[in-house]
Amino acid sequence: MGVKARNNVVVKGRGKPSIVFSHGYGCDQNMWRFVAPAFEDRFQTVLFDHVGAGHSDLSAYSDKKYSTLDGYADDIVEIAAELGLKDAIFVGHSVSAMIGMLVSEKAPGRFKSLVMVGPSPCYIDDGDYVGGFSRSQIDELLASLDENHLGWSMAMAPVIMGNSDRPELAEELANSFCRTDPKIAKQFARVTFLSDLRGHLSKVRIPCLILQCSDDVIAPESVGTYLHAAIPESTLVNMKAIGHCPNLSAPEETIEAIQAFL
Amino acid sequence: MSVDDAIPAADGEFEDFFENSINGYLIASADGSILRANARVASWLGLTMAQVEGTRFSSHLTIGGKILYETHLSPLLRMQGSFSEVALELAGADGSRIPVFANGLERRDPEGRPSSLHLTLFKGEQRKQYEDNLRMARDAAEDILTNERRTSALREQFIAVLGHDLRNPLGAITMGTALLKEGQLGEDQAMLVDIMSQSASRISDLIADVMDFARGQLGDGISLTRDRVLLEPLLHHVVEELRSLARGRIITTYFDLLLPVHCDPVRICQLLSNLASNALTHGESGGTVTVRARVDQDHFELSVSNAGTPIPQAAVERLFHPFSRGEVQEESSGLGLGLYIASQIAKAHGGNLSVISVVEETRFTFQMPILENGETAVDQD
Repeated sequence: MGVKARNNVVVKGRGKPSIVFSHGYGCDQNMWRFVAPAFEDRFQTVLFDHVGAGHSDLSAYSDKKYSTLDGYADDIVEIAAELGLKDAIFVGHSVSAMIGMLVSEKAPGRFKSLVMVGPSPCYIDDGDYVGGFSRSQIDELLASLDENHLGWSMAMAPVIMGNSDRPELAEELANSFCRTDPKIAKQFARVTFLSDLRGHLSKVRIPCLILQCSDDVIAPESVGTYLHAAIPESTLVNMKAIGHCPNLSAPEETIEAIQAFL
Repeated sequence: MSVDDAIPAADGEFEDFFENSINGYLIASADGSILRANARVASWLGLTMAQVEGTRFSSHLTIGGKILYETHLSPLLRMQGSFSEVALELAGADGSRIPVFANGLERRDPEGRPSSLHLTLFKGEQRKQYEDNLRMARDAAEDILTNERRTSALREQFIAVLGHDLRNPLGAITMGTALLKEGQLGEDQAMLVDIMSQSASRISDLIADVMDFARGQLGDGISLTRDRVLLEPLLHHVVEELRSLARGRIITTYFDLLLPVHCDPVRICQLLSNLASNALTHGESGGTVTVRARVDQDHFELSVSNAGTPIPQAAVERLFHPFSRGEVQEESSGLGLGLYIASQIAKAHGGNLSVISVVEETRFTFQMPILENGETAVDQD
């Protein structure tokens, strides 16, 4: 299976350079549906699904490879090589912001700048560092995933039931954009919320835009400030957008901020 | 006609319905902050309605729900306009957790921009308990299954090892009786040695059956040493042996075996022996057993039939299972492995064993293709 099929890579638009949009934990490349089209007239846009999400190839998933964010970063390095990207722009939402940072480290020259939307290098409070969550909160989160209760199960029901003989059932299930294999979702959550990439921040060699949302439960303002201080060549923009997904809730503001940076 | 036009001007009726329902209702602004919550929601949370208003819905969820809301539900509202039947837990002000099922709808203005959110919450205490029980039952069942599989594999390995280890001492007994027969024996002694030698041979057969069974169950199946053979003399030999064992019984044969068959001759003889012994044991006492065998360009077919009471349908379904001895057990000398092993031999040859049991006769038929293509080179050894 090729890289493009594995990650359901979708290339659109015309122009140089390319912009790669990378979705975070939760849904799939649909997260960029209100943002990416705005760049198609002047850039080549590249969208994809992380392995385990959307229409990626689930059989490519391996517990070992994806036990750290490096596995996801390696996939993007491969996509960049496959498409022959050079001096491209990486736009990563949530955990993908940090994955993008790893990519810039692993494959210098592929990307010339980095846009981080709602990023966090570490979700758990640690001494003076305020990540927004206590260790026990994250443990509770992961336990709720293990028990597979809460609404997580809704996104996963079609997979669990394995109704391959009755595909219409899966179609009917309303929450299909966020459908994920439950085991993969569990592991991705673990990898995401236990990650600590603070040690990498000072090594970022390319210009970096940090888009910090207001009232974001997942990445509070203290995190944006911390990132801005730690990443050498960074710009911090505090957005009016509320919540964790400005790419959906405030696409105009997001597009403007990215365009101003470019 | 839009929904709004349909609302009748009944005084306070809808107001009352909103406030006094078993369900929780929430109206939030597009960015998620609560504009209005009904009394039910406030009472679940242990807050006044004024305390609820202005807060974000996700701030009243337990940590798992908060993250779920931000990473899944809020995107879903934007992408598909709604979500439904999502299990969440409200975090009460006193630390309590209230399991609810949530439906959400995004209201949009004519340009498609979100204008407000409508959330409906159903309390789901009992359903959560029910689902928890289901989950626990599933986990317990999976544990039991895993354990059973492990135990069963161990048991069969044990059988295989035991069978193997029993062969050596049995060999000594067989050899001993053979040597004794050569010496000078009185009449009683000669009879005893004969009985011992027959018993030893019977034990040897039982061990072989048990080991075949263990092999079948362990997944390797019965292994074959195939060759191109003319089966007629071999099958005649088996029938002769059975005739001498079952004195007074008539076994008639119809053989048409001019072409060689690519098979394991020892196993085919074992198959016939098992089927014929079965017919002699369970067929009408004193009745004739008929053995038919024929080979053509495509198939080898062997059948054994006898007269007798038909086998009940329920028993037919279990006939080829191990340890199946039917309803009648007057001569329970075997382990009930004969037909199981016969079916395993059939399977190993790429053939099948079937049974028809009617008033006229009970007939077991083994059929296998004689084409050699598709067989692996290993078989040729």
